[in-house]
Amino acid sequence: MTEHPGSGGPAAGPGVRVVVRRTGGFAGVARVWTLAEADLGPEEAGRLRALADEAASAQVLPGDRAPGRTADGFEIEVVLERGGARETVRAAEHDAPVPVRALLDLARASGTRGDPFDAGGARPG
Amino acid sequence: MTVSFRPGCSVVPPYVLEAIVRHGTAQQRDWALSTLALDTSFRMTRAQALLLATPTRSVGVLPARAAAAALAPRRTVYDASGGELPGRPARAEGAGPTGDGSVDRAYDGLGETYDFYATLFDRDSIDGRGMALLASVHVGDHWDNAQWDGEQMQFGDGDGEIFGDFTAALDVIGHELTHGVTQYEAQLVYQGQSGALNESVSDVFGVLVKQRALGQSAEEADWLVGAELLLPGVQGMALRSMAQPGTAYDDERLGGRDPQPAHMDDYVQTLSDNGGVHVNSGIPNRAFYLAATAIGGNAWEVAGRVWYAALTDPGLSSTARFPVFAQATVRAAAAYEGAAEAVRAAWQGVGVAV
Repeated sequence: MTEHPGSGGPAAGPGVRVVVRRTGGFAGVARVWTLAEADLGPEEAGRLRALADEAASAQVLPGDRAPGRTADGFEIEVVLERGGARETVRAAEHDAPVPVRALLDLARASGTRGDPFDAGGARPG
Repeated sequence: MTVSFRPGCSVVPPYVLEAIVRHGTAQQRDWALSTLALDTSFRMTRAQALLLATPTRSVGVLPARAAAAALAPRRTVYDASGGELPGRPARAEGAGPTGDGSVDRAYDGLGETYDFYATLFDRDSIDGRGMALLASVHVGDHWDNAQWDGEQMQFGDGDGEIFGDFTAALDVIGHELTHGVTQYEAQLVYQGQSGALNESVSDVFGVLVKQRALGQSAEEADWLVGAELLLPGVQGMALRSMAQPGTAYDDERLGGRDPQPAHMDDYVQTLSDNGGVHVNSGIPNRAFYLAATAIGGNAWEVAGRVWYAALTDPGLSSTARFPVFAQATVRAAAAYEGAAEAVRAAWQGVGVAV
């Protein structure tokens, strides 16, 4: 899959930007948060850079996810923009790599809320 | 094929095996794949054994068990606020209230749901064989979800902004436990139409548990799912409306308007949410509502029994799409005077031909 949920194209500067999209769950509601280095304090920006690097090297192979037996689980999609390059990591929350879960936590705490439907998500309905 | 030469296989959860398949060495992958294959064949054998041991699943037949009243749940509610799952055992079967509202609501909700299945369908727990009911509460940090992980139920406290505690809604507890029942019965694959049926069946029995607990007839019930989860200030009545899918909420923080379709004409094609399992469930949800209100009276007494018979129909494929499930309900409804026509009309009302 090659959908690009980045909202507004590649980041202007060299800074790291991460878009976290969470779908599914009991509610079946899509949520999107954007984490941009420029919007964060120095400590969180450093954490963002480190987690983005770790998440990129912990990639889950596309199409390699077993459906498992979890019902109502969240799906996480993380789009990493680093140095002009863009990568996407997808995982089910319950077996997501640690840095992917950490990025979700950081996004929920400090990210800018994005409109899921401006972010390239398939709008239901 | 025998499983006895590798006794450890059944204690390694499938998701661990799946992770090994993805991330392990070639040797580990081979082992995990063969164990998964054994596990699958073991489960199929167990399903066949269950069928043999249960000579009839027909509704209206006296329970095979001499004393249905002897059926009793085995509940354990865990407090996962420490961060680990399942967490610290907080309330075991027979123990009194703990004072922790989440623990006690989960305990009571599991009891209501167990009693629903035992009394109406002579079903002894999730697997029909007295399986322990395990639930963790206070899962995660501001976790705004409830899920069934294949072995137990998990409930979060909510994000505190949109969602409150997920144990607050009895229909949500019934919904999660029903995912377990489906796993042991129709095993509806969690993708596309069979996934939307899996979701719908959980919504159906979730709301029926609540309606029965409140003593509400089909006409009196609100047919809402998760009404108690939404915090004050959220523009919405609930997360889903079985009577009027697509009308439960309209709030920017929830992505706008409730996206559920009420008719096949509006079926949503999407890659998200396993192909929109929580979205397209609106279609079979409304079919159930139409059937139950046409039949009248208490929805669990006839419509609920018909849907349960379809869910436990050994001939129902795990990849069943809406029309196949609809046909199973129409067949099951033949046991009740006038019900088959009401059920058929209900499916036609949402654009599913039967």
